[in-house]
Amino acid sequence: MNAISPIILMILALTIQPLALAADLQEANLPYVPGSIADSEGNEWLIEQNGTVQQSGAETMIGNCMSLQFGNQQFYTQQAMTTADGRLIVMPNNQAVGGVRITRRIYLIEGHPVLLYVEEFHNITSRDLVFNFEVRHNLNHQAREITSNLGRPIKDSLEPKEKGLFSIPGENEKNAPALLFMMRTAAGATSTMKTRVQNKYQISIPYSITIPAGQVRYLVHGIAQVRSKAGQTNTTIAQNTSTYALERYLDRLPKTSLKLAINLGDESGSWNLADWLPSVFWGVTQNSFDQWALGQQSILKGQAILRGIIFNRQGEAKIKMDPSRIAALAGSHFTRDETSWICLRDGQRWKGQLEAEEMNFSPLGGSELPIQSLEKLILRQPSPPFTQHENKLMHPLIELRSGERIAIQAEGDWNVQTAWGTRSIPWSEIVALHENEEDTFGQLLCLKDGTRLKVLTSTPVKIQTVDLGQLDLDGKTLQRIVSPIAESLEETDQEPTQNYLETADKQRIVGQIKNPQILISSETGVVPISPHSIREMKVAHPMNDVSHESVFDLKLWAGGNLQGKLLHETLSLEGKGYVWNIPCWHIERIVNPSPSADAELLRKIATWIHDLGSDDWKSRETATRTLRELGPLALVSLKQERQSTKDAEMIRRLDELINNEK
Amino acid sequence: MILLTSELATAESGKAKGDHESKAATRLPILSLEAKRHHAELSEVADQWQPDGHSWLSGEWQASLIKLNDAPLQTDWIAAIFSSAKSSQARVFLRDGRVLLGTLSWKDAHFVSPILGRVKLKADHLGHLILRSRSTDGSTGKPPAIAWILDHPQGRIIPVTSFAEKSALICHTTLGTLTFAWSEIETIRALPKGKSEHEIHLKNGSRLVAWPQWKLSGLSTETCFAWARTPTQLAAFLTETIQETPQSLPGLRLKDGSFLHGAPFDETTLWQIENSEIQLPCKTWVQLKQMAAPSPDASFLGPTFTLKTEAQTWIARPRQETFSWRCAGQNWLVPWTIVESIDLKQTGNP
Repeated sequence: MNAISPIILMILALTIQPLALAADLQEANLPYVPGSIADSEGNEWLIEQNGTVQQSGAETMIGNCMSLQFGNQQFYTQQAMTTADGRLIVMPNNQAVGGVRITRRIYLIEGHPVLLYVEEFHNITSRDLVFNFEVRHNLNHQAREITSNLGRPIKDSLEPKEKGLFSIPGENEKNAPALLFMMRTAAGATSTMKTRVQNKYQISIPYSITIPAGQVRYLVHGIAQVRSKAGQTNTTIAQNTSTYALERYLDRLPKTSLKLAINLGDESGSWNLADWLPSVFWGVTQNSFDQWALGQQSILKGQAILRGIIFNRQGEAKIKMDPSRIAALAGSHFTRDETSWICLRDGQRWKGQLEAEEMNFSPLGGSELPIQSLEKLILRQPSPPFTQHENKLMHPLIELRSGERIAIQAEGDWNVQTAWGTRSIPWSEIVALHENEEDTFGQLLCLKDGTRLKVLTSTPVKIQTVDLGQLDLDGKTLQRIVSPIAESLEETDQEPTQNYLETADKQRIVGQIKNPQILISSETGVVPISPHSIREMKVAHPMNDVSHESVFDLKLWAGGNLQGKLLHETLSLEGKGYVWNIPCWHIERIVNPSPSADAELLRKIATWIHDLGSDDWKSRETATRTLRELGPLALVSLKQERQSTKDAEMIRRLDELINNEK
Repeated sequence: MILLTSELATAESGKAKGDHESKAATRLPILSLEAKRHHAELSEVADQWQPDGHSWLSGEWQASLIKLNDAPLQTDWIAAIFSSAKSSQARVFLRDGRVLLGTLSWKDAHFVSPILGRVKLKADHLGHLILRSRSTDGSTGKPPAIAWILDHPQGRIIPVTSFAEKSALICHTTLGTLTFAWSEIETIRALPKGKSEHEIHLKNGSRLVAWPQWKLSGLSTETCFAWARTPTQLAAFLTETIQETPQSLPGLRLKDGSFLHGAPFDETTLWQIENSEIQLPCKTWVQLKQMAAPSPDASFLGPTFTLKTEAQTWIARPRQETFSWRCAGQNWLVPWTIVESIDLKQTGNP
């Protein structure tokens, strides 16, 4: 069996890869011929067969960028393929490098001066591999400066919160666009990242990734040509580069590549429930024994004997603790003050004073020892052994800035401050509250219906807890919240099934537009649009910072597109029992996932459906054609009629129209 | 403070070339900006008309019985009209600096130019019109304006002539809800890049990121884009010419970008340094900077700072969760977790 398993793994690995490739090649089925491509800003891109971007045109900083290197070897492909529209180039390499098969996918982003690269690394061996590679960029000439995306001159690394590199043209090429190398998202920018910049001319970024046997990992990165005025300051660099942040383009990518990307952090989507119900405490993983850490280097396994445990949380009433609820303890030897930490199996953790009638430890093969100066004590996983899947949240947990986590009852309402006024949110509607990775102002409150609000929690809040009675908290101390509802949701970013509006700073309000009409100033004049008729309305291109004017693209449910500016100062939205007045310069997108017709159109639809059974052939044909053009707007009415009618001709025509919408 | 680097600032500072365009631009800076967006300059010599996105024509505009939203509008109040060529919705720039929005109508209007002769104009098909500037442009009536509000990036500009007694600006910030007298406010503007916050500059040099809340002149915060003491400051908000000068004032910087010029209010604060607790007088602080947490577990122990005093530099953890900071005559309780840095030995002036 042991001899066969690796072979089976190899077969599976070799099978999976072609399937993954096959999916792309169905779309990318034309041979790619390198040539100069112009983007929406007029910048030229010349992508070679191996995915490097070469100099094209006179005014460019690009020398030889986005080169993928493994030691002395450069990535190459036998034949690059592209889609009919040229927006995706796929470069497979069937010759594995050190057991890893690599595929480059390059997305040309329509309407943006951006190339997005998804590098796929497939470990086709039966063992875990550490794979080292580099991404290299050579500039055309020496840059005036190479900074981070926040404007800090780069020496040898990106700091946490820095997401990429920005090359500013030198005097010799002051008309050339600056280059932004997008390396990671805000969620992935939590640690230092090595870079090498030589002579403000050559940049290389080394990577070392661990790929489990048979598995795939991705690197998602990109390059943008950024036109901006001279006189770059930290503020203007940060503003310019945030327009082309990697986060803005991830919705164009397959979800698999996001989930398995090495550089996107939590952008891939997850409530991070494992963090709320951990099995690792201060670097020590729970297992089938109790573990007593006596410092950084010493740890004993055995059995802890705990009796009469009392915890006094920050001067409040003492609580007698059932030892079976305790997952871990940390004492004054760890905190270096008088306080201790207690972590409970339900995810709570409190800071306070620990008392014990008896706290001893019986190491394996040794005699019982008293625990006098506690560093850390990590108790065994409860039997029968359980996995993370069985570890469920029983109550909502709030996390305070002190690090404490407290279980609460989801009762009553919570008053929060939003950008558009104070709102009272039922605790039962809350899925999570977390830091907004891209934004340091406020926190993001996620609700059951998909609403996502930036909130300030600085007002006092009364909370009914599970174990600690009622607490009066200063709202500023609230850091994060998670609710058991999060466990039933698959991802953080599920698209709501009802109408919603999104803002440029990633807020989302689920609700109906209350304005009776939306006025769009188009090329031919002012066009009134019913909110119900909009399928999607979104900003056509990055907002002009200067005028804050947004041009919107509208797709209509009845078919057709419209482009123009909003002739409103605010739009009114009703959701969660509130009316929200959103300034138009905040709006990024409005979506109606389901078509809905207003009363007048419904009456007309009813008339046309009636005409499907007319004695006059011309009337039947006209009605059929009109209903077909209405598409999904008429679907509900068609299905309703189909259930009740007995007329054979009507049934035939209704079936044809309904099937047409499938 | 905001440093204006545009030609507008250059003109205002008295270094203007002295030509009439610069002077006209100074008197009505927002109109000048709008004209530039449409590739035109203000002129004292002739009226200018741009029909349907074509070239600008010089000549003379004549009109009678003009109304905006059915209310009469005196011809000699008008400095310019910008409207969509296929719409009667117009933005009307007045000579006193105000900008109005609405539906235009008139009994009769013509443009007389050497090229086209006398052309009859339709209110719902005007295009853009800039009338010749006057030396009295920019003069507000009595009482004079003490501030200006721009209610939307392409909206009205409204002068504020007085503040109601006891009215104040309420700011929802990461520090909580703060209230300021209007006399303390220098400027307010919506942050660019689609943020939902405004930044508020106080006269003492502080900068707050906040959700402001006010009701002034019948306008509420949702429809207020910017507020400034002068039209030139408002115009600067609509260009890329604002550069934040490096902050040389002593103060506290928060993670959300707010800067509070002031000083610690507490006499001492308690710090954990190595295995000891040390009470340090706040007047010994030179600089504090929060460090990134070395590991997620370290967050249990609270934020860590490099603490530089005149004597030495430590790595230290504050033992309390908050401290008091005095700014603009108020004391605020600041959680250590939201502090980016504190610099107390800067010597610049606001």
